[in-house]
Amino acid sequence: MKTDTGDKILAYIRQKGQTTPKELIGFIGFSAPAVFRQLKKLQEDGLIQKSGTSPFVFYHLPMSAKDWSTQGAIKWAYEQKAPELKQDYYCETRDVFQARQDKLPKELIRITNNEQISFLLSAVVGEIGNNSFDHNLGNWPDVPGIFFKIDVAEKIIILADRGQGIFMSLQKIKPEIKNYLEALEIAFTEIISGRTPEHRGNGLKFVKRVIEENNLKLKFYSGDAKCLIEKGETKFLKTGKPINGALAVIEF
Amino acid sequence: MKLELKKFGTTLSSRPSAREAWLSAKAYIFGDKKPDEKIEVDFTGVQVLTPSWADEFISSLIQEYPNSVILLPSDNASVKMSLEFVSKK
Repeated sequence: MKTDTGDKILAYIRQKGQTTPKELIGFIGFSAPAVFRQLKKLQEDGLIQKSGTSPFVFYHLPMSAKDWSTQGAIKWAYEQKAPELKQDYYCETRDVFQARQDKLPKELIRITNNEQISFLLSAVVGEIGNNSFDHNLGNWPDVPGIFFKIDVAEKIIILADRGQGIFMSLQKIKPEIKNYLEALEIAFTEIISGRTPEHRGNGLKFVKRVIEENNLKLKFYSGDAKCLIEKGETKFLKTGKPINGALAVIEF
Repeated sequence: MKLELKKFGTTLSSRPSAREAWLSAKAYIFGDKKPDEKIEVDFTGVQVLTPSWADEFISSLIQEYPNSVILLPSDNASVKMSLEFVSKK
């Protein structure tokens, strides 16, 4: 059963997305034990979830561990002003990304117990991550670099950038492209590169094939479009809120 | 001559690193190549190869030394698929 204090806490979490106990105590103005009692009740009622380990505990609305894991990247990619990122996930330059990518095959072999899938997945990550740098170097709209996270428990890899996005990148060499959806479909199915005069652009076709042939899952967002590859099938769809740059979530 | 790609790293991923490798190979490895000598590209020890790296390095190699390059077989899935993509270009 919720109390007025419980309602207040719930409303605060809904508004903020997540909160720490300290922040709540300051907002409610009650003693710490009283606030923790309410938090426990809300958790028991399934209305909120607790994440993190002490002293970095926070409370948020219920969501799956997978959704929770992608929250940081989603916020970073969607919000108008880039939130600060944990250094563990932020690759400001290609060198940092490369150093982290070099460790990826070993880590993936440990999780999947499958060398070939691990090598292919590492190549997919390399293509997506390096694409961000290739197409935005010296031209980042605000924050340079990429978000790169591997969630071992949930078996997901997340990459995101706040770059110019695939539409802008391809429109320079193919002005007839009308929107993000068309751009995304071309990027994943035609041999084309936004890096004119280079005559390349196999990267996302390679990504598509690896994901399709190995029964992996990819959600790739750019602007107001997304490419969804699941169970060997690829779909291109329009989304609601547009994203800054690109966001990729790979499930393996 | 045998060109062991693992000497450039076990994860061969970005275009800039491939360009760097290509310039280095041209300066320090292929300088000793005899005119009709074949170049055997050995992928042993390479764990990850992307189409971008392969395109930048292998395509430059084939362009510079046409009819001299032999790509040795590899069991690595990323090597096989990346080479397939580059050959389609």
